[in-house]
Amino acid sequence: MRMTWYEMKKALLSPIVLVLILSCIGLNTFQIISQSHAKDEINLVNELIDIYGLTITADSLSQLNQDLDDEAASLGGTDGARDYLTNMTYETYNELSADDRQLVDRLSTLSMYESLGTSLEERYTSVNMDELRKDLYTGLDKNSSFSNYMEQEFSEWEKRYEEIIATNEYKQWFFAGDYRIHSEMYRTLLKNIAVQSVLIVALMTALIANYEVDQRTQQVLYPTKKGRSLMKHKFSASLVLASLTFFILVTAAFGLYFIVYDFSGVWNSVVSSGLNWEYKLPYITWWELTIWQYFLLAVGIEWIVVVIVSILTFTISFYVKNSYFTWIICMALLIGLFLYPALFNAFPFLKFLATLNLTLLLLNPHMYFSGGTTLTMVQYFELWSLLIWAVIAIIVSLTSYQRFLKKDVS
Amino acid sequence: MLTIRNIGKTYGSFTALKEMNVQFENGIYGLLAPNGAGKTTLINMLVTLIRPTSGEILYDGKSIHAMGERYRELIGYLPQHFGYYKHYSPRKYLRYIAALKGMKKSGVEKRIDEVLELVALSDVKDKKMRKFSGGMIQRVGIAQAILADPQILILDEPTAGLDPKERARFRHMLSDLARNRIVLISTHIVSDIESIANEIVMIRDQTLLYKGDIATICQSLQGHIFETTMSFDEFPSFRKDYLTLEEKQEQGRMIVRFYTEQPPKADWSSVVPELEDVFLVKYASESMKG
Repeated sequence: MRMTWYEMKKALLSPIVLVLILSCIGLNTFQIISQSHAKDEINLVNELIDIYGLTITADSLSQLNQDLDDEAASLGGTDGARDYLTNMTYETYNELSADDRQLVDRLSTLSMYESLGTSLEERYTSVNMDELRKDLYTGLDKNSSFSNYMEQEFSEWEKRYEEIIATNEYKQWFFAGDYRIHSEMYRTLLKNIAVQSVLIVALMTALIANYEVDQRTQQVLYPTKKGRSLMKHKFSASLVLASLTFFILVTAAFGLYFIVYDFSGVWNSVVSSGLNWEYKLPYITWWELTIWQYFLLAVGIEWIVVVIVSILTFTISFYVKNSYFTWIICMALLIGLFLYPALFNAFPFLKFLATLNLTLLLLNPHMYFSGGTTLTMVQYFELWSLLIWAVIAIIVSLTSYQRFLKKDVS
Repeated sequence: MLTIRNIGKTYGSFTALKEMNVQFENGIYGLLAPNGAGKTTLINMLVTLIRPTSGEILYDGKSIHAMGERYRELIGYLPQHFGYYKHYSPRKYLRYIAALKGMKKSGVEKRIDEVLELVALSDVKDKKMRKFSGGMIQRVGIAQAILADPQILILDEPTAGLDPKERARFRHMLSDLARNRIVLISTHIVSDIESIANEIVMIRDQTLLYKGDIATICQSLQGHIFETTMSFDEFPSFRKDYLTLEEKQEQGRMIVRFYTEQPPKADWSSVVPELEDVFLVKYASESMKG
């Protein structure tokens, strides 16, 4: 552990690393604060859950409707909340006192949820699976075994959709889709953190692994008792720092995020909630996942991706004897992984294999565990991508280490 | 005992060392050879930085590569270009190296103080090394080499950058250290080793030329080293005919020390051969090539 700590300090004391970590924390903080103008409105869903429970039922909707009408009456509305809000004009609104305006805003938001809840069943059950199935066949040879596989995946997903409907899993309160909370959490914040982590971690790993080459100390250190096995400590130091960096960024960003946005009521809601409908389709997940389960899994997956990137960077540094070139090559590799599935557009199966890659996993945390018609939305996509790349990273790193042990150093 | 058995090293078609056989027991060995003779290649093999293409190196009958860290813990090594962390102090750097050498944490601080005292760096042990002169850095290098009290001490050009006083101190230190260990010093500076080395190892044409004590090797030139005095005008033609080893001016004439296998002439006086003469004579062909 003493040696690992020595190696960790080499990267930790590098000014560029500290500046990058602090800059990323600052950037994420700015991003969260700058998007938080509607936080009071967004946080209102917790009150809804407190009073009416997490599950949307006919009774709770009816009670909500009644309560909203009462609130409208207390504000002077005589024909219920809906009519009160419909008749509310800009001029009337501005004539109200500040307190009353707040009450109207609250009523408007709760009324929107009531409306979403009421129309939820009709909207959710109207997803046209047959239409979606047609998208599946774009570019696929219908008679190929891969086509059969995709067909089977789609059928499984369709069953899952029917299960969500049958069990009323989708009837749980969550932030309304228009607020894009899921996207902001994962597509923006977690993805940014993961990308920032990869940039910093690749640099730190390259700095640690190539430190002796950069400082020309190999000839002093490798003939010592520890010798070249120092690389094992450098490797552990890189992995510890990769994890530390990632979790520092996650803790700083999501710590603030959960202070700004109150998730206390929604943690036990599900990602497949019908309210979590931001774009063309709701998030129809392969399994029933609560918000906290999804959050932990998404963070866990991104963490493993960052660790694998660190292992790959370490491996590259066995061959490239310069920290900054190592970093550039690692970034080129990740960008290459993003681009290279496009080379196989004419070969769907090869394209599918190519999509099982780290970069796509890194950049799409908002789509984890969700089914659909694209190649990345098959069941266990995340697991396969991680397994394949973990195995690749372990094999190449071990092979490179063995080679390094026998290599001439002069 | 460290045994080099028939080792060779090639890089593609280039031969860096070939069929080298030599044994080292406790004592100080001076490794003398001109640049490119294979000196650093040999040292790099002894400290496991490179592997021989053929042959093997044994310590007490066991292959040093098979011994792994059990062998490396016996070594103290100062490379020709000593690398260090500029933003570390000598104490901090030695602490790190002590950890790499597997030294027990409890005794490290005391030992660091001892070795820094030995190399006269106690006053600056907590100063960052980026401000150090070349000589001070070299002394840090010597300190790290002797830090773990090694059984085999290998020093590649250890006196580079040291002033005469520091060189003298270094020689005294080595004399004390050499009693119960193998000390191998590679150098160009003959005076650094001739007073302290028990034996000299000379490499020529990528293989062992000579290994033996200084007196014997010097004896091999007995009757072939002379001194003579001549005018400045005579000197250029004399230099063409003889291998001159030392030239100095005195009272308007040249005093020349030279090597020849010819019978002595009347105005030549035979002198006792020194190690420097041996070095210059044995590598005369290399210097002519150069």
